[in-house]
Amino acid sequence: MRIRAVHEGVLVEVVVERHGGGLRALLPDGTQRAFQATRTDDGFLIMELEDRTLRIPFTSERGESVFSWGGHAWRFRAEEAVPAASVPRDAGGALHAPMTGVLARVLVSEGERVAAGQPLAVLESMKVMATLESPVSGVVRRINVPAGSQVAQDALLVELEPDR
Amino acid sequence: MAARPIRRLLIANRGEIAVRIIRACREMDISPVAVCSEADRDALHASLADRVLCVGPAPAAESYLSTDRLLRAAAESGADAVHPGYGFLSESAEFARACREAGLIWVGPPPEAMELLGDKIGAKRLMESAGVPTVPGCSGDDQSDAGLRAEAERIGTPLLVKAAGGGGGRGMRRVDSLDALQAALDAARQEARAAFGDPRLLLERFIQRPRHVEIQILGDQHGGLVHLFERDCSLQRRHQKLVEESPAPSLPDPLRRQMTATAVAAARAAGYWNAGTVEFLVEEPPGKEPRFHFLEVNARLQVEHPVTELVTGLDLVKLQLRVAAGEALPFTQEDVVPRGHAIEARIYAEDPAVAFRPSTGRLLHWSEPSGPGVRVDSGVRRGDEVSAYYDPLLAKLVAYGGNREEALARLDRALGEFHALPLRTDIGFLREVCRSAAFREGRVDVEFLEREFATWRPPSEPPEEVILALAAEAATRASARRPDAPRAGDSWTPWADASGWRAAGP
Repeated sequence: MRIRAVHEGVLVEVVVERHGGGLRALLPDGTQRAFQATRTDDGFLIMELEDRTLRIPFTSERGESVFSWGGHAWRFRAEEAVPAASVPRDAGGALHAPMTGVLARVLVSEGERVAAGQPLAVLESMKVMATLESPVSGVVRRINVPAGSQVAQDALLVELEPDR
Repeated sequence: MAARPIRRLLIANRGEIAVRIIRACREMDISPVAVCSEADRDALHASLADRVLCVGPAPAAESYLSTDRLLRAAAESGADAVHPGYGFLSESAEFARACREAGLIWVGPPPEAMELLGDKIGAKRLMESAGVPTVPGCSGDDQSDAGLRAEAERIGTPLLVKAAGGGGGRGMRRVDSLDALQAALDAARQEARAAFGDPRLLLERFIQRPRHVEIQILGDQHGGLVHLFERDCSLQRRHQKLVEESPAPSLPDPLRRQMTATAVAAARAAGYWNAGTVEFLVEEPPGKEPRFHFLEVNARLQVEHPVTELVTGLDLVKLQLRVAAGEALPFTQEDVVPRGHAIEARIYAEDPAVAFRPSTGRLLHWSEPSGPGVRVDSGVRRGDEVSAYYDPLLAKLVAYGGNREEALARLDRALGEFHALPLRTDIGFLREVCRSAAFREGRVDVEFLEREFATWRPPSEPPEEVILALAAEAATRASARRPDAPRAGDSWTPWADASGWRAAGP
């Protein structure tokens, strides 16, 4: 499940999936966190992480979720539907930019082994963040563009060596 | 005057102060009677009283400000006294008089003293004749444009246009150049008429970067009159107080003594009893000794009275009720010994990132802090609808400690435990302001917030904990719809939820 939500005009994307008996989240910076999550009847999310437990008050209605943390209310609006086709998965051992934008983050490094569907980079365009996933399982051979660069549509971003 | 006990009290107010007064009633075995507007039928204060009478539609002018309807409610309920709270009709000598004429005990100062001190122009004259330093300004005798302009030329800029009939920053304009005077007069008059029904204005020299320090006074009907020390309310936004504390940080003792003595003398001169507050501006001219100027008297209970309650150990509302009933103050000035430090932060349903725009809606999540040294006076509970009709004050958080440092630490801790969702509130803003070096060191003046926090925005980058909460909320959503689901993780499926968060491809 991929959650796409807008906070203060910026799209935030997080992938959450079942993992063991609980959940695993892939954060925008590429780190992964395994945790258990429950809701209480009185409006708290209880998240048991490896090293600590978070208890975060929240509300969710009419497409807006608000979380209270660090004294601040963090608001997220469900993002308007983006056609899945706008972020195509490349075929073969190459990742291209699906649109013109700024390469916000590169989530992998050269020589790293990646699975098909694993997020490789985040491309920002018109305040919308798109996560670009690996088209194949294999090894990252070369990162052609450093994070922070402007890229044109179809620019080659990452070269991969697919598993045979 | 013989004591006449109060048995049933009509509380002519709403919100947290009505709740506060109801609690005092419960401790004194007085039966509290609430009034409400049609918008407040389910409000907290209405649910806590022994009886609640609806006094009219939502607009305050037709309910909480309607003398006739409030008096009718008092008669119908068999109340023998009226507590006006603050705001609404609390400073209306006319209402106080009407209550008296209806045979009701008025829980407040006598209307004659209210008239003398509650009117800013009159109070200033009284103070000047008593030798109390006041802010240089005009008497307000001539309310014509030409008359005010002549006064403005004499006082010089920058100057402040103020409403003679009330406070809270309404009808108040700063004028930096005489070219801008006429527009300021027009706007202030209009605001003053709308807010207080009194378009009279007065002009004052604008004092640069003053502190706001006020003295709490309390008197009985037998000549007993004491001060309960000071509160520093310098942390303001456009004359709206946000944080108040006692004692005032770094107020020199000789100045404190002069100010408290002045406040008591002024109250005595006006024949004042019950609770009141004498407000001063403390000016600290560079290279000179700090000096104070009389600002105004608030002839009523103040929003920030809990600060004084915590450092003096007194219950101001109960004392108000006792002296209103004719009892003598049960202590003397020497008995009042302040201890420790108290700081109050006002929790407003306003968005500090967007010019404090009011935020309305249902409070789906409301949790209040508690624990050592923490007091919360709130007017709402979870599930309440916050409407646009009334003051956006949701609650007051008051922290107490053995010293300022401990009080600040408790305030910070408590602000972190305070959650009001999904409304926009000033909780995060207050926390950052109270963590600022200037506030921690006790060097803020009334312009501090506008100078240092005018462009404040909440942090923009959500931390990991928040992103995880976003993920957890979405992932547990499916099970939340099925109350029998044993555990979120077990029943989770990415496609169970057709609405809300989009599970994006591929």
